[in-house]
Amino acid sequence: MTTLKMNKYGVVLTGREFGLDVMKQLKDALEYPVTLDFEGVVSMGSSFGDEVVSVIARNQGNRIKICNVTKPISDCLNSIAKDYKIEIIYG
Amino acid sequence: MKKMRDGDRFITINEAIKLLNVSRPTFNKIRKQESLSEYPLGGRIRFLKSDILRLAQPVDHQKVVSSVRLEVLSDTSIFDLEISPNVFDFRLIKFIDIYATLSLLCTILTLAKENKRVELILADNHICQNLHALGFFYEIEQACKDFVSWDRSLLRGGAFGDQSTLLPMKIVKYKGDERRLIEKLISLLITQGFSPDVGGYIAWIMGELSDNALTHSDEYCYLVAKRYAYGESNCIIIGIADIGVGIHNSLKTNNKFKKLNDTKALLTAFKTRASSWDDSYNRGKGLTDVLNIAMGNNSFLRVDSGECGYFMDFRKKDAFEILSRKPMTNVHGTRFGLVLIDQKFKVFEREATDKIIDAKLEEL
Repeated sequence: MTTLKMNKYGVVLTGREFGLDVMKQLKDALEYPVTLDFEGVVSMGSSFGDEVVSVIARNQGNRIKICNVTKPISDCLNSIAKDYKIEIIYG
Repeated sequence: MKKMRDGDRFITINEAIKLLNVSRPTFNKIRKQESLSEYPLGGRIRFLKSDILRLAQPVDHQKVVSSVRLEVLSDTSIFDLEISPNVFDFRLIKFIDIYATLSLLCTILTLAKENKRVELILADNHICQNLHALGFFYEIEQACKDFVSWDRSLLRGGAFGDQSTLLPMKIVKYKGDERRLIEKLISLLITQGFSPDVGGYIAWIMGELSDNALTHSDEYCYLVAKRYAYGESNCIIIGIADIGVGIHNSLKTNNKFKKLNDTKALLTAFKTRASSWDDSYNRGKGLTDVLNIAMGNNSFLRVDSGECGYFMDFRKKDAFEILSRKPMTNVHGTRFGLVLIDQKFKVFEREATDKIIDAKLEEL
């Protein structure tokens, strides 16, 4: 199991290409299941989320545990969850 | 002979008359009264364009007030400022917000890109000083100083000096640069007493719109943000602009949308999964999210793309309006101006936003 601290990628996580770059870096290093920790992250865009959150969730039975989210990030995650039919568990 | 400024040139009597919009006899009177410097060249009298422009009078301010208030709610076009081809008279501006400032910037940049010489007539007034403080002239200087001229002596102090400016006008050339600017903006919002959440939503919006601009314009975009009061609330107005192909043209590269007219294409682009990419890529949600946030926030926004535009007013909870608007400028590219109010709110769902857009598309 991995807890991925998202703040290592920045305070603002937006941009589809950025999301793709992050997943490229993570691809072979992740040990599933993965929890995403958004402590220190102020915002995330849906384009970034599409390329990271949905991909990780799909690789672990369409579920993902998330912690330490701000309201804007949880709103973004809820849109992604609905779009990709993912279950998000807020910890 | 006095030294010619960069960008200045000699003009004929007929060109001078056209510029001043006077008759020949009147021009002859002006020549005498103002002791205009005359330059015999090739057997004909010439004048310096800058000398003539200094004499160009703004129209009666009473007539000007209603027609050149450049603001988010305005119908005014940039071309009301253009007193002759590629000559823009800033003395005609009574009020200008950052959305209109971006429209003006894009107009000037487009002309300069077409190798046209642009002249800006300024005044020593608060409008020009505010534009200077916003970084407007600095960005023009950086992008196209060889093609645009103005009297720099009228601009006092350094650029970027206005305290209500949270993010002065900044060019974003590379993906990722916008995140650094947005991070600085968020820190500033918190120190200025805004709630952390509003920074999060601003970052989401600016991140999506910048990403779109840099992806579809293939060039660069400009970001800017200011604070102001709306009733008793703190607000932020953000502006994003590019001189790319425009949202409507980008969408129409997808065969599914190619038959739409430009006005419908621009609005359709805000629907979920409306994208220049094929449906299988599951893209096209960024613009919808921008609307979801604005609707939830009960705020408003303006978008112009090429020759079409909309004013989207979500201030009345049960009476959202999406109104077609003549763009402030018809240059290619996209300009956004969006207000966010610092208050708690619930973001709209994408389906709800799609319904509202569909209803408007039915009317078009």
